[in-house]
Amino acid sequence: MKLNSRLEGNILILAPQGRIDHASADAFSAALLPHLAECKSDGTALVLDFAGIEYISSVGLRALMLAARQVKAQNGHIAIAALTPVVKEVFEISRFNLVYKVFDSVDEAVKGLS
Amino acid sequence: MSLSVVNLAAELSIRADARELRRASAWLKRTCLEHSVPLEEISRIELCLNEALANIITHNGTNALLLPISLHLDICTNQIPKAVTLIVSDSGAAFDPLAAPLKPRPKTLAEAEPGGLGLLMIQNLADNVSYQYSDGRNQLTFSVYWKEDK
Repeated sequence: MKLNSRLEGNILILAPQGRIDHASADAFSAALLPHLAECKSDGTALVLDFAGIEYISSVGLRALMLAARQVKAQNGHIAIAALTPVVKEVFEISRFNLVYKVFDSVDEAVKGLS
Repeated sequence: MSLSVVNLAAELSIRADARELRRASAWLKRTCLEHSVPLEEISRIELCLNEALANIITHNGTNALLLPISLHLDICTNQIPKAVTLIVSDSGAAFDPLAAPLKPRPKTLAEAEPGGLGLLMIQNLADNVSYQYSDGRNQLTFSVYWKEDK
């Protein structure tokens, strides 16, 4: 899965597109992996821009949970921004809106992590 | 929902393979769109379908993988509330997902667990869920309802 990326100061914004389901969750995790390694206390913080994610199933949530755990173990910071309505509902049902730092927009996430 | 007038009944058979999930999703979305099911309801039932199929493929044992999974879709729009109902049938070991205890939802990352989210999603996204085991097959039925044209 291709992750469009841009750097704002010390914060790397990654923008996956499409669906994170059984067919794509492994590719999403693999694409995220090198960025997670840099997401540590003295490295870059990560914002996942989910404006282009139209769908996420529980296997996608699992990938996000494992990513968050890795970042936490490295004392880094990660957040998710701009959830689409369907994805937002999935986050609320699963309470991933409590597990992750979730922001309405990328700008707010950048401010929140700065 | 005691009396339902089914406008459309459609069926699809898929292999019990994760690579078939998107084909099933595409069939469900296309059929629902053709019958003016609102996007929000399509998303809800599609998520339920994906979670149900993922659970079958991952947890229902070897027998579940031997025979095709059957999908039966009913769309009822000549009634209030309107309804989409999907029956997912598999040949795996008998397993009533509704009898399984739901894991508590996490409040923190430390409490989050990788499993159990599929059932949680189905029970929260569907307006009605039921299960039966007959003729050697699990049958999980879930419906979403809506009242108005959107």
